[in-house]
Amino acid sequence: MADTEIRGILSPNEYRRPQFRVVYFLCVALAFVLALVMLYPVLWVFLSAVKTPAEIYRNPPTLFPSVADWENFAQAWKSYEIPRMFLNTLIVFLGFIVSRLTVVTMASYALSRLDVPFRNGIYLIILSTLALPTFAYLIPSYLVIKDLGLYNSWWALWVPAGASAFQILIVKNFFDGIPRELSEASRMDGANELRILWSVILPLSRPVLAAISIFSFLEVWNNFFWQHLIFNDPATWTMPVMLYFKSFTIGGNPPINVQLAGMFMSLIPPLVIFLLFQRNITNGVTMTGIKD
Amino acid sequence: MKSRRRSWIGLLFLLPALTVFGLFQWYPIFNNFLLAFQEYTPGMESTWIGFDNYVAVLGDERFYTALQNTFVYVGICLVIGFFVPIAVAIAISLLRRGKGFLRLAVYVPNIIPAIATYIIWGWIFNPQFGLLNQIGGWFGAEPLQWLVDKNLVLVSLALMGTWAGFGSTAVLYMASLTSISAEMYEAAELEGAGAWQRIRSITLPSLAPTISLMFILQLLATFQILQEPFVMTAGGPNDASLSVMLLSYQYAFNNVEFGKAGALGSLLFLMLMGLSFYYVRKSGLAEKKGA
Repeated sequence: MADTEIRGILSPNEYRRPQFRVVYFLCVALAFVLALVMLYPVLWVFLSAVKTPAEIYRNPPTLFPSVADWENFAQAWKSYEIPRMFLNTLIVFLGFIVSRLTVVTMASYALSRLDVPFRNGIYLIILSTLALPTFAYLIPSYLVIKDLGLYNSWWALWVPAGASAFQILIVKNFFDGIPRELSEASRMDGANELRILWSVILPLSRPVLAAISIFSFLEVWNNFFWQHLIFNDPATWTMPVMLYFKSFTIGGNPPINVQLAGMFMSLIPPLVIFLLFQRNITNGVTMTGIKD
Repeated sequence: MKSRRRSWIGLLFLLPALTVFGLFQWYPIFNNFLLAFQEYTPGMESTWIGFDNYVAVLGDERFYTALQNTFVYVGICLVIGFFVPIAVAIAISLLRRGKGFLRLAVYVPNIIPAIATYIIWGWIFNPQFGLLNQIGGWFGAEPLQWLVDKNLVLVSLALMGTWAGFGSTAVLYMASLTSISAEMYEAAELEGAGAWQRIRSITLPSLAPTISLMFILQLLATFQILQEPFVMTAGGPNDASLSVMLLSYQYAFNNVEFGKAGALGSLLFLMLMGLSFYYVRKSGLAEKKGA
C-alpha cells in the first residue's frame, strides 16, 4: 500500500530514529494483539464446531480438533433448518429493502427536487425522529404491530422499514449533489416525475443505494430482539430468531458442537457480504456516521 | 422552474414516508404516554387510572436497583469503551503497513449477529473452561465467576459490549484522522514539537467534534441496554444486571402490566430526549434541512 507516501503524525524520517522504533514496535505489538482479540473468537467457533462436546469442555483446552467431525455441520443443517431459515431471512430482507428504498427514495426526491408546501417543516418532522431513543419505545411499537394485525407476519418488518430518518437524510443529501440540469433536461422532454426518479436519478445513485442495501442486510441478519418479539410462530422465524431459540431457551437445544456449527453457518452470509463489500461498508460507516 | 402544478405530486411522493413515520415513529411515542395512565392488557378494555402506574413504578424497589445498575453500566462502558477506539485509531494510523487489514479485523465483530456474539462470550466467560479464566490461569489468577458474581456481571457485559461495538467507532475515527492535513504536522515538527505533543495539540483537537458526538451516542446506546442482560443473565444474579429497559420489558411481558411498562418507558424516554436533541444539534444534522 502507498501508506508511506502521505505523512501522518510522524514524518518518514522519524520512523528511522531509534526511539520511535521502540514506539513503533509497541504499536505493531498492540495491533497484533488487537487482531487476535477480534478474530480469534470467530476462529474458535469454527474449530470447536468440528470437535466432540467432550473435547470442547476439556481442560486444558485443545486448539485444533483431535478428530475433525464434519457430521456436526450436517446435524446443524437439519436441526437449525438452515435452508428454510436462509430462505425466510432472504425473503424478509428482500421485502424490507424494497419497502425501504421505495419509501426513502420517493420522499428524498420530493424533498430534494419537488415544490412541496411546508417542505422544511416536513423535513424537520422526519429528521427529528433521529433524536428518538429507539429501544425506549419498543413496547408501544410492539402494541402498534399487534393493533394493525401484523403480529406473526413478515409484514411487521416490511411495513415499518421505510420509517428511517437516517436513510432519508443520506439519500436526500446525495440527490442534492446530482446536477439539476439532468433532471430538468428530461423534464423538458416531457418525462413525468416518477420516470425522472427511476431513469435519471436512481441510476446515478447506485453507490448510496448499495450502501443502504448492505447495511439493511446486516440489520435484518442481526436484529434478533425485535424479530423475536414479533415472529412468535416458528413458520415465520428468521435466522437470528432460530439461533436465539436453539441456544438460549430451555428444551430441545442441540449439543454444544452442533450449536456452534449452526452458529458458524449463520456467520457465513454476513462475513461474505462484508468481504465482498468492505469498501462500501467502511465508507458507509463514515457516510452514515456524521459529516466531518 | 417553480410550478404549482407539481406541489401535489410532491406530497404524493411524500405520502408513504409520512404514513410510516406517523404510524411507527410518532404514534408509538404518543401512545406510550397515554398507556402510562391506563391499566391495559392487550385484547381487553383499558381503564384510566391516573398516575397510579407512575406511583407503582416509583414505589418499586426494583426500579431503583435497575436505575442504579444502568448508571453503573453506562459509567463502566465509558471507562472501558470510550477511550479504546480513539487509542486504537491513532495507533493504527501510525502503522506503515497492514492498516487496511486491521481496519477489517477491528470491524469484524460488528458484522457478527448479536446472538452469535452472546454465544461466543458465554464461552469466554465460562468459569471452568472459558478463555478469560484460562488466560488468568497462566498468570496464576484465581478463576472468576464473570456472569455469576454480582460485583462483576456489569463489568463483564461492558467488556462484551465494547468488543462487539467499538469497531465502527474506530473506523469513524480513522476516517477523521486521514482528513487532518499533513502540513499541520509538518509545521509542528519544524517548530520542534515531539510526537506526543503533536498528538495532544493537533490530533486530539481535530478529533474533538467526532469525540463529543461519539460520547453522546455511546451514552444513548448504553442507557438503553436490554438485549445483553436479557439473553445472558436474565437480569441476574439477583437483579445485579437488571437494567431499566429490561425491567420495562419484564413489566410488559412477564407481569402483563403494560401500563407500568409505559410509565417506566416514558420516564426513560424523557431522560434520553435531552441527550438526543443535544446530539442532533451538535452533529449538524438538522442544519442541513433547508439546503
